[in-house]
Amino acid sequence: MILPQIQIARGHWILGALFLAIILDEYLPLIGRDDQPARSRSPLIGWALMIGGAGVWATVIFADVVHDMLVHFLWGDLLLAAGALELARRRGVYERPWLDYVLPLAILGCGLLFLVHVEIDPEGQGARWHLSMGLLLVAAGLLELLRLRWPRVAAIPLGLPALAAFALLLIAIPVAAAS
Amino acid sequence: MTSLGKWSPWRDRSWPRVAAAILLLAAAVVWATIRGLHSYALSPVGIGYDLDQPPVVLALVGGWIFYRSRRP
Repeated sequence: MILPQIQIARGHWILGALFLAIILDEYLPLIGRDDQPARSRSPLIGWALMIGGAGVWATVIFADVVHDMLVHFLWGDLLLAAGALELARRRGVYERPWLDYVLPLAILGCGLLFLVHVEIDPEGQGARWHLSMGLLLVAAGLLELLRLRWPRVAAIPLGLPALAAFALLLIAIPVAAAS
Repeated sequence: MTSLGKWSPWRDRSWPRVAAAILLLAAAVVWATIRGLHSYALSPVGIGYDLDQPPVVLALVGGWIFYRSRRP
């Protein structure tokens, strides 16, 4: 069963909105009750990542295009794993320093999968959109990893502009370019 | 919450979230004006389609970020 183009575009729009909410909530400063900067602990972020993962994974069932099935399956796995880890961290049931790397690595991984998507099907509809989105995610993931390794700039969310641009591209993707 | 008389953008560090929310809501209004919004049947699926339009999802994210600009 091949999904109608408009349904595929709708999937992109809603996942783009989820992603925009995730990254703005994660990276914009949050002030706690004591007037000190606080880290976002909203479990909605973990849920949103997992819902996004389930949405992407669902395309494996609803799409008959083999490369879409492969790439979306891996995307779904990555988002579900990142969502589960973020949920555990935000609920306070699992606290490890390496959990700080989960979101940047998930972003980098998703960006690389976008590039794989374009590499497998360079003539596909929306290839330029996917290439732009992949490059933005790779840049954002690398900048966020750099920020974690460079504590002096830790207060500045280096990857935020690229991530916001990615999410806006996803929300703005035309029906004809969504695949 | 700081009182209105003493409010300053430098003291109230929630302003990046408020600014982002205002920007998103304004972009949603402009986008909806230019692109237009479709209206679907009054059913669960129709309401889902009503909400899943680029300007509407942008406004929903703006509202969420504004809500999250308040202290926890």
